[in-house]
Amino acid sequence: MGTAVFIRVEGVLLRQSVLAAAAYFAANGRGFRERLTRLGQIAITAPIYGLLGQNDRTLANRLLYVSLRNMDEDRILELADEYYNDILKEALLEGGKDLLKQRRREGHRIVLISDGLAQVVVPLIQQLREVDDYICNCLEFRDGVATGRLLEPIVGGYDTACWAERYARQHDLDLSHSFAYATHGPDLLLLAAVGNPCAVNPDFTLRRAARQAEWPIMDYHV
Amino acid sequence: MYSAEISIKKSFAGRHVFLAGGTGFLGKVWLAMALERLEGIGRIYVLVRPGAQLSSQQRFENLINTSPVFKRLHERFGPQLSRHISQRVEVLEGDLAEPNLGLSQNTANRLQRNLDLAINCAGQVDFNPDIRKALASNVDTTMQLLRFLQRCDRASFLHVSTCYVAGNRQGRIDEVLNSNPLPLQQGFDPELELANARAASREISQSQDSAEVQEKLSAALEKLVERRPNNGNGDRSRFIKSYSRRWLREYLRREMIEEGKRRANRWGWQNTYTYSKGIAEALLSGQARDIRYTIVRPSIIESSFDYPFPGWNQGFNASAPLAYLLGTWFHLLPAKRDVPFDVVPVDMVCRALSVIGAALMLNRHAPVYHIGTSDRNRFTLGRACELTDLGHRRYLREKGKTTLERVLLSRWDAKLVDADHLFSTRNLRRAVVEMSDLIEDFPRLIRKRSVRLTHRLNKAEKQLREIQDLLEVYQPFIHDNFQIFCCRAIDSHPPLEPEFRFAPELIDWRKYWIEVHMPGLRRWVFPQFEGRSRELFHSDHPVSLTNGEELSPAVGNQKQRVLFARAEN
Repeated sequence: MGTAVFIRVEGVLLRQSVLAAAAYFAANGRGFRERLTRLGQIAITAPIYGLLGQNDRTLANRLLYVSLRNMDEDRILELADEYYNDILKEALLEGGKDLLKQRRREGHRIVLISDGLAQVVVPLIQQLREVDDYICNCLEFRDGVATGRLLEPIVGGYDTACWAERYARQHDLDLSHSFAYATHGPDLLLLAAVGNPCAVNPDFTLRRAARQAEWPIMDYHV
Repeated sequence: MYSAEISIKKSFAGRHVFLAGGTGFLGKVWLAMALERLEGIGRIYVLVRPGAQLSSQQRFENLINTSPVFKRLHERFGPQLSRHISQRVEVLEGDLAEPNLGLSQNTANRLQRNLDLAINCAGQVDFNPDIRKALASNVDTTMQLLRFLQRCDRASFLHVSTCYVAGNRQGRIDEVLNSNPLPLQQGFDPELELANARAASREISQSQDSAEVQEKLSAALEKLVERRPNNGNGDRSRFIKSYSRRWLREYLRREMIEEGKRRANRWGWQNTYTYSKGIAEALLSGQARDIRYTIVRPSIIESSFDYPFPGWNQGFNASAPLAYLLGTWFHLLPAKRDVPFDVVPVDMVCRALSVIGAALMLNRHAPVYHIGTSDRNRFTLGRACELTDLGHRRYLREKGKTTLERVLLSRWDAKLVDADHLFSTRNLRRAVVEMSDLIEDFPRLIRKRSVRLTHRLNKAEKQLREIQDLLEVYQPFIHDNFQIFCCRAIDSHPPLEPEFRFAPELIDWRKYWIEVHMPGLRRWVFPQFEGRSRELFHSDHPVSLTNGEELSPAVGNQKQRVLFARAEN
């Protein structure tokens, strides 16, 4: 049986949260009126996202991506490309990259988990190279226009742990010898599902839980 | 439908092809493709009109040595290109509009014995040209070529027309040759229409001597003298004579253009171009009974997909002016989002021409072929507009000349609006004119102070008028149009060689538009809108067809540059 390393992209590999990406898309919509409307939506969603993010990240992500409703797929792809090249490339955390390389050298299967949209995550994964597999959020498009809904499974909530277990079964992986690195409260179950959990740059909820469970904590955010 | 594969290379092997319009956008790409991919082809006879100072052959050599279309051939064959072309191409000095194509009797006889196929991609592609030019270039040439081919032993005729001969007919347009091609009305007789159009243009020519026109000319002269009293101080009569001549020429041109538009609209065509193409088709279908022929109707021909290289473009009249406009501060485009925008890359059309030419020589052809994308991989105007904006955005963000361009213009997206929008170009122009008139009514002191403002308003009015004219030309295609061109006939003869496959399904519109078409326009077409010179290619081994040998590079390059400069002038 093999082993895997599950890494939550936001917080472990990237400084930026998905909120920044959504705001970038909103600020570059078609025409100034549309930009203002979408940014307004993001401004309203941001505090809710912050609050829900500690508990129900699935709902938080659903709400966040509603702001991209009726945006053309062409524009989203172009903006994703811009966002990746202008912002994301610079936002990669050195500590995260080292961690990835180290685990890769040890021969583990590397699996990335991201709240971000596929359009943004895929170029990142192509750059990182060491990645075997990934899961991220996918927007639903109808006739080339975003509906604002996310396709199942929605990544980010407690369901991620179930997904990781299913993934391990499908690929004949031993979770008890596998690793997981995550940052946010809702990743608690993911960390609990593996034998070697580690909280990286954890938020308040996860830090407290990690201390209680005596999981190692890594801080390299800044 | 039964589909039998055709080997394009075998079908063209040893066959002799006549190419009319070989110096145009489409003809050049087909010629380059044939020279590269159909090595076994017999002879390609390229009809080229002699220039004022250059012979047809010199014009053709310049084309081969300077046009980027042939760069690929130069790279592949190097010093052997002269021989390669000499063995396959014969440049004919002639004129398609003349009887016997302007060829000597010996040459004509030789061709009539040898020809297997004639491809006619010659023609006037301006949307609203002088009606005389349109008829001469699109109708007379076709009929002269038809008459010539009727005297050939076995030549088939592939005539390139346009999908838009469908005129204002809406919905799905089938690949059929109508005996009555008229878009909307019955009772159209192409021969009668041609005669009437000619008579009308003659009448306009004669009208320049009429009292009414002379009166208008006098009024214009009076106005000019009033505005600039010092003009022609040196030799007043000479000045008046030269001004009158120019005025009459311009008057005739304008009237001829208007006559073309009037006749086209009356019968249900969008413009003089589609009208003249429609007449040519109708005449062809009526008179070409004793010859094997087919009509190929491409839609809007745009930048190449991959041959000779991605993004090659030379077409001014397709989407380029609109794409250029969307890269400026112009913001409101009167267009409808869901209108199909049937664009097809030039090399896809050339592939199709080769397939159809082969089918025609094998007598397995259909009477009409549509070569477009709206039926098989639909692209809409809304999407074209969005991708054009994104293409400009990508360029301006990186290469904008000023901060304003990089930050603001790159994000200045166009908006599709109705033609009667409050801020439409027409209304804006009206407002500018009103303002100018208002300033005229100001007291003299204020009027003196507002000279600069008046000047600016005049300039703005001129620009708005140009935009308005442009949008009016495009309106039938981008606002009042829902046409899907059925494009299936070509599927009945799939080519054996994949490089000739017509496959619009392969086009990923986003990649094509942003990464191929927009950079292509920016490199090859936009400079001409901005009054900059075209980028030319200079080969290291200039081709000379005189003896099938290359000139020495230094001499050749110098010679070709001089000749090209002359030809350009």
